[in-house]
Formats: sequence, C-alpha cells, structure tokens
Amino acid sequence: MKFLSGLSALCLIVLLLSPGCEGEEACLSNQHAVQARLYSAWSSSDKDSVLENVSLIGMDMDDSIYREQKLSELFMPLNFDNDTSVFVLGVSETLKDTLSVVYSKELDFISRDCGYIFTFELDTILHSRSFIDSVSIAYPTVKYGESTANIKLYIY
Amino acid sequence: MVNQQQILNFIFISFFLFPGLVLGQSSKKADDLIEKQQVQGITLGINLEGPIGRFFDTDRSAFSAVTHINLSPGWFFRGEAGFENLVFSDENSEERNFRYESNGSFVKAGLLYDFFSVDEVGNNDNIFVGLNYGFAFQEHRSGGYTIENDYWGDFHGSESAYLMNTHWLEVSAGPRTELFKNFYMGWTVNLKVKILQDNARELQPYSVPGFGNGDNTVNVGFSYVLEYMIPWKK
Repeated sequence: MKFLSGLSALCLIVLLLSPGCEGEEACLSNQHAVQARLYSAWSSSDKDSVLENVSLIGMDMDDSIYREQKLSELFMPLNFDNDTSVFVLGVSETLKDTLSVVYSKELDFISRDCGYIFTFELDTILHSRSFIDSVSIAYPTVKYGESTANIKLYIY
Repeated sequence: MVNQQQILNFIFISFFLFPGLVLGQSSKKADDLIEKQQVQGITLGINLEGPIGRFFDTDRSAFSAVTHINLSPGWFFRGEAGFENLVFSDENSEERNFRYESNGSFVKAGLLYDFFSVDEVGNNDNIFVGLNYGFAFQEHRSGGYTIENDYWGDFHGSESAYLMNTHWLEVSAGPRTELFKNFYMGWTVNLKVKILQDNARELQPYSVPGFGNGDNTVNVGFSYVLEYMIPWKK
C-alpha cells in the first residue's frame, strides 16, 4: 500500500512526540525571599544607596543571612511557620535595626515537576530607627519566578 | 538508558513495518481475490498506548479498549474507555519534592471520516480524520510534600485524596489497515485541547487519564490500536 510507506515515515515523527521525549522543567530555588532595595533617606527622589559591613540575621537564629557585606539590596527569606518574620539588620556592632515583616501566605502548586510553593502577600513592615529612616512596600507579592523588588529601605 | 531507549524505538518502529510487509504480500494477491462488497460491523480492540508508555514511565499503568462502528460509507463512530493509575516511585518523589498518587478512568467518543479512496477489490483500509470528546475523572492525592527553606526550615504538608474531572476535545488523524480477515491495526496522532477542568484544590494532576500531561492545556498524543471486527452486514 502506498500509504503504508508514509505510515512508517510518520512513525518516526510520532516517536519524537512520545512521552519519553518530554523534557523536565527546571525548578527555581529560594523563591520565598523579600527583595529589599536600599535608598538614601537624604535624597528627595529615590537614589540607590550602598551599605558596607551589612549583617542580617533572623531573630533567634544562629546563622546569618549576610555577614559584613557591601550591599545595595537584600534578600530576606520568609518563615513558613509564622505570619511574621523578624530580622536584625546591622552595619556595626552597635548600629542595628529590627525589621518585622508581616505577611499572609497561600499554598500554590507550580507544576508537576516542581510541586508546591508558597506565595506571600506583604501586609506591614515595622522597624526601629537606628539608621533606617522609613520603609515602604513597593510590590507586596512575593511569588515564584518573579524578581521585582518588594520593599524600599530608606537609610540615613 | 540511551541504549534501552534506542532498542525500544527499534521495536516500536518494527511494529509498524511488519504489518506493512504482511499487507504487501496480501496486496499482490488482491487481483486474484473474489470481488466482494465492503463489510460493515463493530470492532473491539485494545489501545497499546498505555502499555507502550510504561516503557517510558514505569510509574504509570494504563490500558484502554476501543471500538469502531461503521455507521455509513465513510463515517465511523469511535469509542474508547480505559483507566490510568499512577504512583510516584520513591526516586521520583524525592526528585520532585512531593509524593503523588492518582487512580482514574476516561471515556472518549467521536466521529471519524475515512477519506481513503478504495481502488482495490477487497481493500478495507482507511485513513481517518476525526473529532472526539473526552472526559476523565480521577481521584488523586499527595501523600506528602516538602517546600524547601534553607534558612528557617522546610515546610512539610500533605493533600488528602479527592475527586476531580477533566473535559477535552481531540482531533485525531491516522491510518488503519486490515492485516488479516477482520483483524485491523491502526494508529492515530491526537491533538488534545483541554476545555474544562473541575479541580477544587491546589494539587494539579500529574497526568489526566486519556489526556496526558496535567500541566498542559494542549497535548499531543498517540494511539496504536489492534482490533477485531464483528461484521453485521456484507
């Protein structure tokens, strides 16, 4: 049969579409951190600022997130078990501020290869005022795959 | 792994080439056949898509039965019913950070048009193009999942079993040939488009029975059917 020749050729095409050829999705890690950009409190418009010797640690935690680093932005991982994550941000042994990030979270399913994640919605940010002048929420959603800065930290 | 897949591909291709040889022999004899009218009937067969798919994904077990009914010259009803069970192996659960189980069934029904022009006595071959409607219901669960958090600590949860269903439309095309008297082999390529899914919770199906990849709205599938026809009219 003439069409059987075509049939056999098409088999090869079909094989390319078979389940064995499906690629697996690459999954992103550390998608649960608030991205904070540093701005100068002295400028009338948003002006990027860089802090030296920055240390960041979660309240009651032993390990630091950052230790004496020069930074213009921070990534602060959120705690899955609470609706508030508290961080201590310092630029020296004596100059430290506390940041309390209050949020709600929602369980989401990303894909069959990557499974579940949490999506967060920032509610309030409370802070002390040693060297942080103010904090504003620029983009309240912390979501898998997004890299938009969430908060603005205005520092003296 | 690559070698195993190459071997499987070879076997797979051979499945298609062999019937071609058989039919090639029978077509040589076609001129000698006694003229007969095209038969009408109902076929009962099996779709080997599930068993073949198990070579590629050992977590999945699937099987389905197929029927074709010759309604009028050129037009066929196609029906299919089957099941699919899927349980992540330990290796896959670890890799994907969640455990998963699904048990489900599906039905498909549609119309096929045969546009193969028969110019040979006794030739009952077809080339089908058709449209099918598919419906699947499944119970699935996640026995446990982990959301990793390197700093504060991982979150562990689970999703209990619940029912969900999926509706889709399927355009299919492919040939069917009569290997022996009343015994047919055919395959189709199927373009499936999800039109509705009733899923009350977050967990998305890893695979929808009869439809395929649960992440996708559009899937391309394949069916390879062996069937026997019970004639009712000559």
